[in-house]
Amino acid sequence: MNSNSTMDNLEKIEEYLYGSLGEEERKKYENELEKDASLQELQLKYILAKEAIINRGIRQQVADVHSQFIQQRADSQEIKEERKPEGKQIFMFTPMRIAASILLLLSVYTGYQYVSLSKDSLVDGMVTDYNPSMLRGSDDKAQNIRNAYKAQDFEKVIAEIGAGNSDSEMVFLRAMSNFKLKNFEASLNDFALLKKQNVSSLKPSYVYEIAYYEALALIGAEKYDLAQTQLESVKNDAQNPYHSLISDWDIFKLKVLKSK
Amino acid sequence: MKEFDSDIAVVNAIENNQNLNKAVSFLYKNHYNMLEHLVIKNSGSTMDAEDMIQETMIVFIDMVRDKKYRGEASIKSVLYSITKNLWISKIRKTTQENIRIEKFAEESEIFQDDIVNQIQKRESKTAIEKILDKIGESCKKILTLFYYEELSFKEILEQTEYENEQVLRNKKYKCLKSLTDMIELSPSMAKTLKSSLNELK
Repeated sequence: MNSNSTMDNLEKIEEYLYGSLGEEERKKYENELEKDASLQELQLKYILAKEAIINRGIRQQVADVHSQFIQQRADSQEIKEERKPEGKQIFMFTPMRIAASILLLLSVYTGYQYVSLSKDSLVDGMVTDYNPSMLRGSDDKAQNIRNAYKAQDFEKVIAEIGAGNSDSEMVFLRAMSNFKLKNFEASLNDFALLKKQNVSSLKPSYVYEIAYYEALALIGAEKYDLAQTQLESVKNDAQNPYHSLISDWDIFKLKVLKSK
Repeated sequence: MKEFDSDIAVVNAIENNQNLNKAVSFLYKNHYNMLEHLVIKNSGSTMDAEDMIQETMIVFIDMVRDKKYRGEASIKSVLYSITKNLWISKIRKTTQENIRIEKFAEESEIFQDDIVNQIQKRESKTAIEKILDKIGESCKKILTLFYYEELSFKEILEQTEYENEQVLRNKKYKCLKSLTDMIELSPSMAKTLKSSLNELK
């Protein structure tokens, strides 16, 4: 079978297989095919060649879809990976974020407290109003002094009581008036006097009040070590009605004040 | 992408060579993870899985085009079985002993024989396909456009630089002759031809 006849035969084989030969030509071809082994072989080779082309086409098409799928998959995994740490961070570190926020707020609050903390602010925050008993004594002068104290006219109280008065109530009111006027040293002197009187007295007066207000006066007078000792002592004295007014936070603030 | 609502719709698209891309994409989208898991679970890598799945799709398309898929099992089951058999075949060639794999291979399916035959047939086809690598690119293009894309000479002419349809027609037969000549030269092909000729008789 020469080259041209092969090509002619290939054309005929194709026409036969595609069903485009006329009836007479088809019968003629089938007769020839039955007798000619080389034509049979060529027809099979044609079928195999065509199959190979189609298979290659399918393979290429599947390969294209495959590449596209793998690429899309990789892209989506990359996106997931990119999102993953962020997602994990949200999942894993939310408590830490909350803790950090709390710490930040605490820091801000502590910072604010630190900056705004002063002996005056600490004392003002702890002081409680003292109400002198109106039943005490009967003389008008004493009553006037009590009224003046109630009216927060502390200078009048001090003036009325005078320097030489040793009556424990008057000394106490004077000590408290000096305390209110932030004359802490004078206040401390009066408290010291009262304590001295109480040592020798059968009936000590203002023991709990002295302990508490003296501690505050010590803060005002910037005697922080003594103030801390005194405050802790009052705080730990369950019988002292003022002990509940002192918190750990107050002690902490005093310590901070000491460090400033 | 147009989604296929049934296995029959996918099979029709493959059989009629219409929307083949969409059909294959649909199969990838719906079954890739399952098939990948099958390979990886049985000592394969993701790359092995990629190769196996790609080959699985080709074997499945062959089955459908050869009318060997008759819908008695779902596409999912058939794809699973093809991948499994391809993978077993691959690892048997590369692994001396693997008890786990042999145990895995023992699990048979009702359509096992059909699939094994289809895979063997595919191996022969792959050998023929390799002959295509020996012809020139221009020949490969003309033959692919004509026999695979099923384009007319007029349509092929628009995609090539031949003067007219007659020149193109002559070129196509020359290319086809080169290809058939190569098939004759191949000993493995000669064997295939011989057996095919015997079947014909």
